[in-house]
Amino acid sequence: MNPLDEIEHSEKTSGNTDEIPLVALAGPPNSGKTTLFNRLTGLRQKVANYPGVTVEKHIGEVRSGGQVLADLVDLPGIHGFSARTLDEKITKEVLEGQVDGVKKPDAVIMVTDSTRLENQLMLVEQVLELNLPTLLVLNMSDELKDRGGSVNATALAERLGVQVVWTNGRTGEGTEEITEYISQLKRGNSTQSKVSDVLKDSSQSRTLPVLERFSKRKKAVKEVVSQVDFVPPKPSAISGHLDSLVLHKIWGPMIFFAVVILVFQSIFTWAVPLMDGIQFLIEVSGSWISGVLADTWFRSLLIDGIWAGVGSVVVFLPQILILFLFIGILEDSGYMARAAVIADRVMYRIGLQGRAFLPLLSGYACAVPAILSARTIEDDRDRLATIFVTPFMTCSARLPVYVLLIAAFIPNEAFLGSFLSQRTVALILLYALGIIAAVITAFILKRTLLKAESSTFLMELPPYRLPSLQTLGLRLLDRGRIFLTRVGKIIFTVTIILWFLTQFPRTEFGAPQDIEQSALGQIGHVIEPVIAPLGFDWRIGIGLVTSLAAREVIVGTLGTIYGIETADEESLDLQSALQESLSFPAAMGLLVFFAFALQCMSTVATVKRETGGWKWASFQFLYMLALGYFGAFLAFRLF
Amino acid sequence: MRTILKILFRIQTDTHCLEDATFKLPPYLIGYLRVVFILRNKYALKSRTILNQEDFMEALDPKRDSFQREATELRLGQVKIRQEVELVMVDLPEDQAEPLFERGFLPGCRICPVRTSPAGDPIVEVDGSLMALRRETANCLCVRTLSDL
Ligand SMILES: Nc1nc2c(ncn2[C@@H]2O[C@H](COP(=O)(O)OP(=O)(O)OP(=O)(O)O)[C@@H](O)[C@H]2O)c(=O)[nH]1
Ligand SMILES: [Mg+2]
Repeated sequence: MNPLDEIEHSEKTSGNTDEIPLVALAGPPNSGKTTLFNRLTGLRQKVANYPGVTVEKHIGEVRSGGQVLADLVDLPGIHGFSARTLDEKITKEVLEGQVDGVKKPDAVIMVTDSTRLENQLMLVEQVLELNLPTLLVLNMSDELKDRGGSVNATALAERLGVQVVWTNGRTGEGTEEITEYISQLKRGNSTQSKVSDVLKDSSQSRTLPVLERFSKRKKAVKEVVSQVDFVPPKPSAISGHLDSLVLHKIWGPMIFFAVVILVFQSIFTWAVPLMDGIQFLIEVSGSWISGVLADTWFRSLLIDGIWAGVGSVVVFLPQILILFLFIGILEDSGYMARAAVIADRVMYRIGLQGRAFLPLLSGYACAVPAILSARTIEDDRDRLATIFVTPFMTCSARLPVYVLLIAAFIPNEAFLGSFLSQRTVALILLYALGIIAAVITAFILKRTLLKAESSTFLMELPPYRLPSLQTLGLRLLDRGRIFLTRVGKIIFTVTIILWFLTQFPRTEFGAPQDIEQSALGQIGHVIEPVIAPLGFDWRIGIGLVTSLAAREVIVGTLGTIYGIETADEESLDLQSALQESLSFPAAMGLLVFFAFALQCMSTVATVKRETGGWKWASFQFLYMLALGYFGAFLAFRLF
Repeated sequence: MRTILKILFRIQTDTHCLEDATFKLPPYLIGYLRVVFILRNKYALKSRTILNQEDFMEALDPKRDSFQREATELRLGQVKIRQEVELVMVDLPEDQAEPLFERGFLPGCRICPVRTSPAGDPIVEVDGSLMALRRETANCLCVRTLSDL
């Protein structure tokens, strides 16, 4: 060994003592890790009563008296270290210190749901095998007590050779003891857990066949559980009653559909006043600013570029938040797990499975978090198929496009009596189009590329819990922030670039008189031949290119193009401008194009990351693009 | 008897061993076993059964005949609601069985179907948690009623 290496090595290890320790939160799914993480760090991560909510690692600081005690990392819940699913892999790799940029944890806090101690302790052996100082947390102490269960924590601590604390993640009871444990780590006088031999016989158990390994583990856990006087709690009576309604043969599906309809109804009706409000604010502030500023290029950039572009998208914030509010309530109450069970049969027919319901529903808000939530699907083929079809769900970024085009081209007349308007029907058809494409695609995929003899579906049904308002509120804040940052980053940049492209090449009067002569117009004309068969002109062409960044960008883009084009005339609104430059069949084609095409770079990037390469991401992109192009062509010809 | 058991054990890992010359079985027995295993492959027991040789011998011990029949005949999918049963074996390939093992579906554990989903799939209680599974999966779980003990 090179002596220099040795020096470096020793420096590293000696430096470790005053470094901030890293503590990992691990445990089975839905045991309350994230709830405790938020308690301990004051950070706000998504919490929900659905196994597999956390799918990424999150790091936060534990402070006490203004001093950082440790970095805490929240991990996805796992059943074992077999790392079959992506989130399990993340947990395993973090715990074993194999992730770049994250050091190996100095201690593990294993969080368990004490009401299901026997089930939860199946993991303990593997956690103890990590040979790290370990704290065992018996969470949900309230539920255990309420339902008449108990366990001798002192005996458990003795038996396992680790410290054990009781907590209630909801009230924060017991978290001081965890903080105390963490501060001991910092002082460096942690006691290495002396693990009992029964649970730890690592070297040989690795090589055993799967079943024997588990049987052995189970035997050991049973022994421990009986030694520590574990009295299992009675099943929750309320949950039982609710389940007999929610999972009823007739009522169950009816409730399911009622819930789905309620979610969509609320997006379209409740969100409207809020959206109008935001629209109003943007307009008022826009005209106020343009009144204050002198008529310079800067005002043009600010009003025609940024205000028009960003404003047209911010309007959709209420819809996204309402959708996420509902998903939050459904998850945190425990209904989502039941919904997955109800949906499973139909999903199975299509080639997906019940766990795909959550990604698909979230897909109506945004495909990116939806694709991440597909990580809980154990079967790789099912997961790939789910990821592949999720972007067909009508995400909120499509809405601005739909709403704009429908308002411009479809009259607001009654349809089938006075019940629905033609516009509503058009919107429903577009949603249906997405679903149909998803169903057919999944069906074909699972019979060709992703063919599998059989797949399993296993879903834990947690007891029903009252959603915590605080959790929901914080989650929405988080979502809102993510959405606005996205708007800020992508749409802001795109609109500024666009605006500049309209300002060049400079003429003697400054900006080009006619937008067609500008750099942007020239780019549009290059694209035109490709999209001419669909009845689109160069303006739409530019919109299609910019909307590759994100679908809703097309609205801002068209706003910018038409806004500049008509700047001198009586300001024509975007709708009437569109009516002039786009025929009705072409507008229908454009709608169909947006229903199918994967115009969203964030989604492509997410798919690439989740599937581990460009293969699926590019295949998906091209497939959806082709579908969009031919769909638009057909629509243009048929209408 | 032992030879036959051995053959049976081999068969569950590899059907082709029927042709294996070392066993020298009478042709009618081969024919019979063939039929049994073709049927078995066709329904439910598609893939390799996870059982070690000892368990298998024990399960087929002639002294525990009723146990044997129960073990191979009763499937979780057929169990009535609220009837607690004990899992005997998981008749699924390893990769599909492991998630079940992790969640506590291990030979010897108590399983109690509590209700069915609207589509008729079983929802069972195991180790204090409520677990929903497909009836196809449930039909691969061999169980026995507790009264038979
Ligand atoms: N009654 C009760 N509920 C709790 C307690 N701790 C957490 N919960 C609830 O349990 C559910 C699961 O909590 P999470 O923190 O999301 O669980 P998790 O371990 O992070 O789950 P995954 O991310 O899926 O692995 C939520 O509905 C919490 O509100 C507790 O001490 N008592
Ligand atoms: Mg979590």
